Amino acid sequence: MSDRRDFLKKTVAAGAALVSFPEFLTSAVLPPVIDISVVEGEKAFENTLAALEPLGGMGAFVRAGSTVGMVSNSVWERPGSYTNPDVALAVVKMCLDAGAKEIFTIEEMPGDYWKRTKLSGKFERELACVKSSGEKKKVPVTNGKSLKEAEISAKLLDCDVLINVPIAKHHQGTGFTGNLKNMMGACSGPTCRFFHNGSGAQGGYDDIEFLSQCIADVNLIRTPDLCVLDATEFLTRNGPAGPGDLKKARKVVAGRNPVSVDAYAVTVLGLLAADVSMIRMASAHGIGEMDLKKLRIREA
Amino acid sequence: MRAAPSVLFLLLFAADPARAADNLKACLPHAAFAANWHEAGAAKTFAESELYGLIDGGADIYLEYGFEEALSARYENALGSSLALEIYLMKDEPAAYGIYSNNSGGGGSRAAVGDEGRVYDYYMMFWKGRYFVSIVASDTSGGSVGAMRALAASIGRNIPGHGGRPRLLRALPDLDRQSEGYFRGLLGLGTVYRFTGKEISRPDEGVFGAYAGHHLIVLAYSDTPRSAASYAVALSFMKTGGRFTAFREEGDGFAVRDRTDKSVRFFRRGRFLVIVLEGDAARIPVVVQEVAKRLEKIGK
Repeated sequence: MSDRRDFLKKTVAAGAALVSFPEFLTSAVLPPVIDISVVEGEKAFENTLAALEPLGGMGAFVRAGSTVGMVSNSVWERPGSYTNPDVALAVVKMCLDAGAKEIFTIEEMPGDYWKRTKLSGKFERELACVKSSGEKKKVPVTNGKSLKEAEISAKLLDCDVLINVPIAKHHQGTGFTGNLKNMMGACSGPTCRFFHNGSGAQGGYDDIEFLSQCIADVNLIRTPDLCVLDATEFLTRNGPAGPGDLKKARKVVAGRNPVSVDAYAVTVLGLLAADVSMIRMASAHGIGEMDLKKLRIREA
Repeated sequence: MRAAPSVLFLLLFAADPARAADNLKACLPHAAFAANWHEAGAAKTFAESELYGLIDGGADIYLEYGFEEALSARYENALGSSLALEIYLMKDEPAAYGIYSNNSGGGGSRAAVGDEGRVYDYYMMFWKGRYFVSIVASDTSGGSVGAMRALAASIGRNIPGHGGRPRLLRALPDLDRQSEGYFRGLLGLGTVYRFTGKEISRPDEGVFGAYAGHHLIVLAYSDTPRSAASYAVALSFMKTGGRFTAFREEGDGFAVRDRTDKSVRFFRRGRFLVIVLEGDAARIPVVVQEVAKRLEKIGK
C-alpha cells in the first residue's frame, strides 16, 4: 500500500510540475524530436548507423516482418555521382536487424554496385536478402500540377516502409539532386521523358520549371518514411554524370522528410533551398518544411 | 594552310555517321600506349539519338553545344585498375572548345595535349579540332595516372588538325582574367550563373570570364531586335520581383540583387547583352565600355 501511495504521490507531483512548467515535458521527460540528424566523419557505414540513433533508430521505422523499398542512386559510375554503397549497405543492415522480411531496390541497380564497397564480403549474407523490383504500375497523381499520371515502381506503392537513399550532388539541369529528384529513379522511361519534354520542350532541360514541378508532383504519390542522404563525397560540377570537381563533406544526413533533408543538403553544396525550384514546389505542395530555422537539426 | 587538312577531313567524314564512327575509332591508340594495359572489350559508338545511353542525364549539355557522335572504350591492367575513355565528335570546333570549357572549369593543371587540356587527380580532358576527349582513371595511383596521360597523348596525336577558339571570346578583356568559357544555351550559361527561360531568352552563343571580384557574361543574339526582346524580358521579370530584389536603373542598364545578395547588372550593346555579376560599382562602366569596344570589332 505504501508503495502504491508513494507512486500516486509522485505521479501527481510530476503531473503538477508538467502543468506548471510545460517546457519540462520536452526538455527532460521526453527526448526532443529531431527532424534532421547529421553525422560527419570518415567512416560512412558507421556514421550512417549513428545518424539514425537520434531519430529513434531503424526500429522506429521498420517493424518485424515488414517489407522495405529502398531507392538509392546507384546507376552512375564516376566518383561522387552515386550513393556511397557503404551508406546503402548500412541501411540494409539496420533494416534486417530491425526484423525486415524483405528489402527491394526500387531503381534498377547495376550488378557491380555492391562490389564498389570493401564491406560487401563481410555483409554477403545481408546483401543476398536484397531483391530487385522491376514491375511498374500506372497511378494517378492526385493534386499534381504538371504530372497527372505516373508509371512508377509497384513495390514503391506496396512496400510497408519506403526509404530514400540518394546522393546529394550537382545537377546541370536542376542545379541539385537529392531526395526529391531521386524519386525519378522509381519511374518508367516514358514517365521520366514526360518530366523533360511534357511541356513541349525540345531539349531535356529546356523547361526546368516544368521538370521541377513534375518532380514535386511525383513526390505526392508516396513520401518516403525515412531519408538517408549521402553527402560524404559528391560532384560540385558536371553533375549528374561527372567527372568533375569533388567535395568531401563526409556527412550522412538522415531525416523523416525529403523536402527538409534536401533543404539542408543544398547548403552543403553552397546553394539556397529557395533557389532550387523543385524544393520550393514540393514545399508548396505541403510535403515538408524547407525553412531550416523551423527544423530541429542535430549535427554530430 | 593549317586549316586545309581539317577542311578535307570534314568533307570526307562529317556527313556520314558510319564514317564518323570509323573516324572515332581511328583516334584510338594504334599500339600499346603503356606497358601492361589493354583494351577491355570492344569500343562502342553512340549516334546523337543514342547519347542518353552513354551519359543519360549528362547528355543534354552536349546536345546544346551541338553533338554528332561519341565513342566509349575501357582499358585495364593486371592490377585491376581501369581507364574509362570517351571521345566526342562535336558539330564544329567552337562546340568542342565549349564543352571542354564547360567541363574543365579551369581547375586542375594544364596538360600539353590537343589544342588545350587539363589534368586532375583522377581524370583529364582535352579538345582538339572538333573532338572533346575525357579519360577517367579508377584510382589515383602513379601507374593509372601515368597510363591516363599516355592514352591522352596517343589519342591527341591521332586526331587530325587543330581547332580555333570561338571568336566571341575576344569580347572578354584580357587583363586579370582568371578563366573563361563558351556556351550555346542556358545549360552552359548555368555553369557560371543560373537563369531560367522565363528570366532571359536563350542566346545563340555566349562567353563568360572570371575576374578577381566579378564575372562577366556576354550573350550574343542573331540580331538587335532579338537582343532587345531578351533585354525587355529580363527587365520586366527582374523589375517585378521573383527571386530578384533592389531593382534600380544604372546608366543605360539596370541592376538587381539575387537571394544571396549578389549584384547582377544588365546592359545591351547592339545584338549583345552584357551581364556583370558582383564587382566594384565604380569600375563596372569602364568594364562595360571596354567590352563594347571589343564587340564593335567582332561585328554587329
